[in-house]
Amino acid sequence: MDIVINDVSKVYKEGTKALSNFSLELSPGIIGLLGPNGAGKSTLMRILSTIQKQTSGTITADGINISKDPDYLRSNLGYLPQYFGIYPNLTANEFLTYLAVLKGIDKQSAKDKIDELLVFLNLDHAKNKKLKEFSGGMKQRVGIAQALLNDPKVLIVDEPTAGLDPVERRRFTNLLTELSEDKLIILSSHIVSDIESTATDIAIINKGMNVVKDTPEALLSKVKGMVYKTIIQSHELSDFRKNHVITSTYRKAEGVEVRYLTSNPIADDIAVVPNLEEAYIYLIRGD
Amino acid sequence: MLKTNLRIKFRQRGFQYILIAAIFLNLIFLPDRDAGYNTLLVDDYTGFYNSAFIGLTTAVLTVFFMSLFGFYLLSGLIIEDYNTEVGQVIATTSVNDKEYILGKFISNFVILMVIDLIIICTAVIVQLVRGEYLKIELGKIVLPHLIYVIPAFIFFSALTILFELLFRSRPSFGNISYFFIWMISIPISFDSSFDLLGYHGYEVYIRNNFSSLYENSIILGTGDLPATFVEYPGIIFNISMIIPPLVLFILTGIILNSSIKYFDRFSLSERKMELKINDYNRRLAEYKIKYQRIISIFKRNKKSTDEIQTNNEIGLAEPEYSISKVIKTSKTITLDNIKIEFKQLVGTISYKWKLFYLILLSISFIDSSILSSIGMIVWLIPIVKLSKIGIQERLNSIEELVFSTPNLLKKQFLSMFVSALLFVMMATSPFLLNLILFRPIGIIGWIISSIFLVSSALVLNMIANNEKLFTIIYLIVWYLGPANQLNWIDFTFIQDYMLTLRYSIFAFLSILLIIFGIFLRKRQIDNAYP
Repeated sequence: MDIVINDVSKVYKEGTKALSNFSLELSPGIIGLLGPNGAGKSTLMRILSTIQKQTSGTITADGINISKDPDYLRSNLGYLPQYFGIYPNLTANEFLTYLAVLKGIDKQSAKDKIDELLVFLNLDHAKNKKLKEFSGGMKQRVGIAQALLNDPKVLIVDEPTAGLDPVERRRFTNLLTELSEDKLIILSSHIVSDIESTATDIAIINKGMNVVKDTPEALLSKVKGMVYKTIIQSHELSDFRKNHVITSTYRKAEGVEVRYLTSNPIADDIAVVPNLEEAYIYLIRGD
Repeated sequence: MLKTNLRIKFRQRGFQYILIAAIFLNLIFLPDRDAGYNTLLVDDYTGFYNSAFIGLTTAVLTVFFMSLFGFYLLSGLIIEDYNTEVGQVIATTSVNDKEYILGKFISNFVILMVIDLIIICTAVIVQLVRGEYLKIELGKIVLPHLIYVIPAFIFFSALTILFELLFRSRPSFGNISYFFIWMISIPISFDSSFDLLGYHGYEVYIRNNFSSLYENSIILGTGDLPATFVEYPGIIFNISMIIPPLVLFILTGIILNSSIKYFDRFSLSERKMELKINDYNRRLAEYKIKYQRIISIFKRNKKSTDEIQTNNEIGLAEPEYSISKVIKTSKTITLDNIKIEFKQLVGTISYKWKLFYLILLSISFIDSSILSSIGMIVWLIPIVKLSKIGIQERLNSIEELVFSTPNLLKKQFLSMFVSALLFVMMATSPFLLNLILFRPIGIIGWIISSIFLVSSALVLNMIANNEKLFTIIYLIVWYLGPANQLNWIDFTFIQDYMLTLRYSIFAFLSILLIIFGIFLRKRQIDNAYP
């Protein structure tokens, strides 16, 4: 499924502009959505998942305007919001069955799919326990399961790995890669490494606007030759920070190893291979 | 903390509605002389609209209504701190338990006093508008509020806190329990010297000073009762008037002290701790099983380590996941929809409830004389569950998951309605059994009642976007209708069961409510995030 976001703006009642003439074309694969807090990512996710309406602009899925016919996208949608609740008195199995019924999945398919997902997400032992007894990570896995119930063509996941331990996180990102063959997956995350390891394309959003959309390699090339490292003493760090964009620090016996962004490196500083986080910081800053 | 609490409440729609309702009730309780009814009528006497009478009337009105509606307005401040986990942040500050509880208590009191202040201002305006006595004696208007309203508000502000703490996990039960306490305590004070509202003192004054032709007194009279107007001079102080406020102050102290002791400072409850420990143990057991499984794979198959997909340091096997293709889909309602909605609404029925129902069902075989008693009980039972229908997604923060599913209105509205209807019919089945055995003509009424109840719950919940509006309205209707046989409001037709126009009226109202409910549900789905 192809989704085209055309000139979309969202202004809240109190006047906050969450999205400003945002345009983006999406086709099957994993698109990572990166942006600082308050950039408009969650608003964009909610608009794409049809539960919020844009103030202006259009969004089409396979050419169909989703504002006019939201059910077309909803029929093909799996959505994992950043924050979501559960029905505490239902078991995991009942809760997923409930959502499967709402998604219109027939009984047998739902049963098979739920069993399969519960095993994969390591919840099969707890499928008959009430959700109020689940830990945060277990609830998150239930959320992931419900998003995959209907074998969606479009999967929108907002901070999906929040609350997962490293093992579960890796399994989930592997799953996304596996699923992405024939699906459009929109992955929003603050964890750059999650996106780096899975996304075929990355869109960076800032202040409600689309800063850039490109492949990870292309984004890295934009910052090539602009990341340097040096070693300074701890007491110099504060002054150094005032004059440079530090991307990371690492304490060593001889001082603090600092990686920083610059087009005018200090003499003798060593150019290093940039990572995606540095490309992100560079693009967000706009200079 | 006080400022924040006040900001939270003042910005709530409930506060604004109650304020408007209070002003509106002021006008109703101080009617135009041509309105066809009188208030504070003792025998056939009532007061001219001077400051003393207006002050007393508004004080009676304020204590009577705000002691009920105020509770529903105030409750939620502490629960919100628990639910939003802001409480856990507060718990880490220097605010101690006493300061926290007293802070909430003072906030509650100030909120109620703001409403009272506005009622007093309205009283002044009403006196001028009615124009019988143009001299405004502010002292006489305010005095009944000082003597009756303030002690009552102090008491109810504290009681609300205790109820919030006691019924934190089941607020609907708290709402219902409070209603019953109010229902018993407030009417008693009308006829006793333990005068909470100021009405009894007024009644005694009229009876002592004017001839008693009738043994009749009425607070809000209707129809064309004859009225002789007297100049009420205001509250005449006597020592017995100190007792009720004194008792209320003592009770307030006891309640606040108990609340401070009962308050757990947002710490994890024992149950939660137990769950956490269980969760830890379970995880440990899982890892052991997995570890053993891997060891057994090594032993059995003697595979080399690189053949096994590992995904962490202790070597857990990567489970296989095949992406099976689903899926037949349905765009319309199916039996599964109803079954799952029913399950979601009702949950698991405990053995206690089953036993209770067995007893009720057994009793319903006796004869028709117990119909009224059974009816009163069984029509009260669905209230907790029904107070959640239509807003269950919001109450459980699940809107984003549910509202992003296709054809939701078409598939879910009917199943939600039918499952709630089945639940009501199940809950009132002892009543039905008695009807079948002894008064079969009443079955039509029972069907209409059930539909009316579900449709009104759905609409009221969606209008208010919380559980309180339906709960409070239903309790009042239940109290006036089935419990007090006010036939025109008795939607259960317990007393007046013959086929009359009322059947048609309630059936028609139900249809209107269902249509309105569909509209509200659509709006809810489309505007979950405005």
